[in-house]
Amino acid sequence: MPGLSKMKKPHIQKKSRNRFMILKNILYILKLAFRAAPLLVVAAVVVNVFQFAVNTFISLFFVRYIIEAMQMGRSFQETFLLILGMFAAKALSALSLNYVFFSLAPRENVKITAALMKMLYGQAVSMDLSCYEDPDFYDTYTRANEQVAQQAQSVIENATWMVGVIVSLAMIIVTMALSEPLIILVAVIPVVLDQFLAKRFSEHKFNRDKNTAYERRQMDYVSRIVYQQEYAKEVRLSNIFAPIMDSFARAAESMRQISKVYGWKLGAVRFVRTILSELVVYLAVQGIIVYRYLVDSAYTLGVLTTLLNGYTQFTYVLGNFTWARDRLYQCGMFVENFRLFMEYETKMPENPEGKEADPAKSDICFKNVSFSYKEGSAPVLKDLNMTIGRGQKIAIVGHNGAGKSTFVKLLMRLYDVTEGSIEVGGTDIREYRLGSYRKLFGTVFQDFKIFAASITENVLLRRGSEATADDDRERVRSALRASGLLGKAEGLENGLDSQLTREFDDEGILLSGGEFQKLAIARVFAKDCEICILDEPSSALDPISESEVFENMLKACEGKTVIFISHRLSTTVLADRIYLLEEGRILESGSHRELMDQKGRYAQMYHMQAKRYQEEMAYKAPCAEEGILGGDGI
Amino acid sequence: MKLKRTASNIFLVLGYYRKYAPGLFWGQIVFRILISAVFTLQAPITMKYLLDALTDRRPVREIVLFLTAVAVIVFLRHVFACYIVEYLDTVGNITVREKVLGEVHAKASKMDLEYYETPQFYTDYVWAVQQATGQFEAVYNSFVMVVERLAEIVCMGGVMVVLDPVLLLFALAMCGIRFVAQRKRMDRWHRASVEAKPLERERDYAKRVFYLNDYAKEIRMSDIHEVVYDRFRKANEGLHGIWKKAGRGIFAAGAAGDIGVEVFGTFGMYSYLAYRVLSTGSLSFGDMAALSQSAGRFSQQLLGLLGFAMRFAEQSIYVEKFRRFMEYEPRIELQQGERPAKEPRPLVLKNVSFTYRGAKEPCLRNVSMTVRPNEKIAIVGYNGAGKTTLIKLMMRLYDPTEGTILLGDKDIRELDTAEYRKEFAAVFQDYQIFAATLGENVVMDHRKEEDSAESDRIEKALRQSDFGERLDGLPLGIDTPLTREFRLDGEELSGGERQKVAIARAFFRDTHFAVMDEPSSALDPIAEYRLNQNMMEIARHRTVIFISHRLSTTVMADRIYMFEKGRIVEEGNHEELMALDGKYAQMFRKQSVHYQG
Repeated sequence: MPGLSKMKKPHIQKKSRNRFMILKNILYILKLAFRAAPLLVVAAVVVNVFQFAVNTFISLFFVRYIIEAMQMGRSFQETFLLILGMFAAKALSALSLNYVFFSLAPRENVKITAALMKMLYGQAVSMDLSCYEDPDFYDTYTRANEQVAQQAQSVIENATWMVGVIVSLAMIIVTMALSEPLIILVAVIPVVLDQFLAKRFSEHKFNRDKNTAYERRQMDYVSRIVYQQEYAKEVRLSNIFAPIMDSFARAAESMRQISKVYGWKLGAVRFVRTILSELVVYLAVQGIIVYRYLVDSAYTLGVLTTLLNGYTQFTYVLGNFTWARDRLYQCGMFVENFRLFMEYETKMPENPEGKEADPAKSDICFKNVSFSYKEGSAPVLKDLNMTIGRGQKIAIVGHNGAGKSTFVKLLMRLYDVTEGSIEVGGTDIREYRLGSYRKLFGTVFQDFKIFAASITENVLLRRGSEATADDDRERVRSALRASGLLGKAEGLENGLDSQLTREFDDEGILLSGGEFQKLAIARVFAKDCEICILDEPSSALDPISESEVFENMLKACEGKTVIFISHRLSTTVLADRIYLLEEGRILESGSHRELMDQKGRYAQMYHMQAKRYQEEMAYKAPCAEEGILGGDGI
Repeated sequence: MKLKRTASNIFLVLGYYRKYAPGLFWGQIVFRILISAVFTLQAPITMKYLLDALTDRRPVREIVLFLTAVAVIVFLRHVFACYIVEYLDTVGNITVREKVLGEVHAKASKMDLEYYETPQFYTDYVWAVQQATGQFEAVYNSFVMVVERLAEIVCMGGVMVVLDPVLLLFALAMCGIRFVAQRKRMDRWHRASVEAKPLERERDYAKRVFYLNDYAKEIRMSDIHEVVYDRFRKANEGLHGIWKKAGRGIFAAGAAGDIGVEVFGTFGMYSYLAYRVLSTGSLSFGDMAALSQSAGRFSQQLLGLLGFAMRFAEQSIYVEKFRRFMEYEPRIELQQGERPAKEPRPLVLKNVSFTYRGAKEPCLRNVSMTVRPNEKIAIVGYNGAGKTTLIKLMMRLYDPTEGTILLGDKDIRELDTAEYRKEFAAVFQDYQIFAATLGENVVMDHRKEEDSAESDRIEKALRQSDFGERLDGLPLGIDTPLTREFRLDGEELSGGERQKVAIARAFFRDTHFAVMDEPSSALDPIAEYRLNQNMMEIARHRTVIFISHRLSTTVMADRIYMFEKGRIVEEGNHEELMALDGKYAQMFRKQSVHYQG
């Protein structure tokens, strides 16, 4: 997966050092948030600026005003107007903050979440399947993407807060500089220096988290073992939990060691930062003020209070600034992953200019196809050549790991071949528009999934529309009938509209493994596909259901190409042609008869599987006379 | 929840920190109280001192000395702060987390299996406990901040009491009002969040579908994402509606309080200060400046403290779940009792019925059977007939709802659970491979270091389950780490290979009973054939109970039980059942039809 690793590494090594990049990320997410909820963003800026302006004004000038009033002999009544004004401004600020962050924000955040998720899902759907099979994909992107909505909210909160902080700092600096320009230098230099250190600090933190991500995943694995039902039986019947917990302890220890190293680094950076920004400034500012007042007699008592107050206020607000900046910086790092994810260019794009697939031309031709999952790793398929005519019934058989499932994945273009080409209807499948090409197929995957939706939607695997509702209903009914699930489905209280799974509905329908499989098979029946692919479709079915489903399947797929993968050879008898794969190559091919006559590997496998039945049936011949299919085989 | 319970839950968490990270725990307390308190006083005291000293024109030397002393305190504070926050805190939290999770996992692994069947299991235990352990750090952080704030409040309050106690009253009134207002606002907020929960769950479903590898293929091959996305959109519309409706109420709940706060905080306090300076002249400039600063800080910190009270109450709810989980007492798993007798005895089921927790229909009905030593028993039937449940009951993963199971003449409920289960070696339909070495995956326990006899037995078991060829290809042999969970170079096995390893477990453990649930489903015909051959050999001195869909394997059984809807409908050996020409015979013929070509 070279594409993925290319997009993964740079942001740690180079881009995170680039503060510009972080700023860009923050602007990027702000832009998206603004597009989804402009009112919230604007309102948040306004109320924050107002809040800070009012507070800063009061802290800078109130004491000074009183002192000067006293010196000028003003009365208490005269100052009363100022206090009233302060009160009105503060009350207005409190109310507007209340409204924006408690009333407006929750509902606007829903919009932002929806907009970001929509973008993400759109991208996730077109992401190459190989990305999903890379564990780093989960580590880096899934986590970043899961949090992006939260991060966006956090960016709005912190960025608008930051605007207020900056206004406040500007007010303080200007006020102080008007009385004592020297202070600016002393205060600003450490602030500038601190920006570099702050970045250092965030980087260390981010790297620490990144370096312990693997340990965290390991620890999560142990939780999974404990909580998931699949593991529960074996954990109770054996002592396997003991070595697992040892691994857990090792992971924790390794995490502790890594964190210790970063602990010293982070501590040192933090120390330098605080000394620079607090202690040095503290001494310098106080020193200047004291010196200038006492020795130079440079300003009045009123100005002195403003300067001293201004300095204290400056450190408070600067604390806010640093806090918000660190938060923003972290958000920026997260957003980086999100942005890279959104900018990831899939290797298998939809290709809108591509040819439309023609259902009438669906003969398949594999030409010297080789494939390996990772560059340089052992090929799973080797130099495969195969032609499947339209309407043929093909069986692919072979041992576990022979490459059967990979074969169909390539055919459906879930992966692209490493070497050679696949042609359908005489055209390289890479030249088709991907969406239209995949429409040719109806598939039952070995690990098919049921979705939290109605039975109808689960069979159609698409949105139903008003216009075609009747047609859809009939289609679903006949598909379910063919797969043998119609009786059960119609017997349910809500019939075909019954919700499956308990995901959303506590009364949702839970089907058994076999029933689920019938539902998955119904999907193929319901789709107007040209090529039906059945990857071990009968593994969860009992023998009677299996044979029913098989007969129905062949009936329903009349005229369509059918490719089924199986290691139960009883079903292959029905195929027009059988391919036996071994270690990624075609070892034998032909009809059941031909392969049996060939007395090769297939025949050997078949005999072994059939041996017991045949012995038994010959021995029990009388039973077969009244047998279901007339017992003509004996 | 009662205040007492909240406090006790918070102390429970703090107890973990005191126990597993004592350096951090005590260091934080001492540091926060001492240094923070001194530092807090620094700003108003410096302010007052400088203003007064400068107005009085005191000697420069004295002022410099004062400033230097403050600087030293600040310096010391930073040294400690950096060490505690970045080093002690991080490492301590990792340790606490490790210990807490360790306890939780140990507890969870001893939960009775029946809990896993209920849908509430996930929300009541898994989710809640995971949330709770995540909350530990939050509780601790809150605690530390509370300590710090308390120290600050006491100091600031002290400054105000000394300079002007009346101002303290203003500050307290302001805090009281804000507290009430905030509570009202949060109540409304909370109500809306509860209402929003189910919709948020719906929204999150889309997340799972789009990210999980399991769904990726189907999403690409169909348009089902439209359906999922429609639901997502509807959930968002619903959420927006909920918050829009709630927004006005939330605003109104807090508004009165907001104004009240400003009446006391801004209007009252500043008027009072101005009045004292201007009208009565009873306050020095230094005092006024220090007061206006500390009054602001004081109320800010006090309000923060009240906020923490609310936060603790919320965190306590999670801790409560953790606590209940830890107090849970398993009925089956930890049962002590008699050890089962050494010599093989028959396993007898007497009128056993069983209903899963929360299920309406029983899964097994009135099942009686006797499994004699060294017998080979086959259990057959359609999906959902209760076959797997039956063997789970035999191994006491559940207790029957009615009836009894006896080993010899002893009710298995009277036996020591752990010892009783040692009589069984089981291969389940949904066997799992664990992130451990190949050897450990066979032994299903710690490997004894350098126990070569054990190693030989492991290898033998693997060869018997037809894993030999693959084993020879592994340079580390039985020490090969499996899965990528813990080791990036871990070996990933294919479906068939995994099953072979699972079967090797049964070969390795020399138990009286071997229980196999569809042992060959993932194997190809040749592997299946070899497995059956090996099994016959291994099983000579053992009792074997196996479940199968493929009737070819049942031919070799001493007795076959045909199950239907939780009942035994036919029993006997293959010949007898074929002669009976009932359901078994019908199933067998149906299956073998295709092999007649």
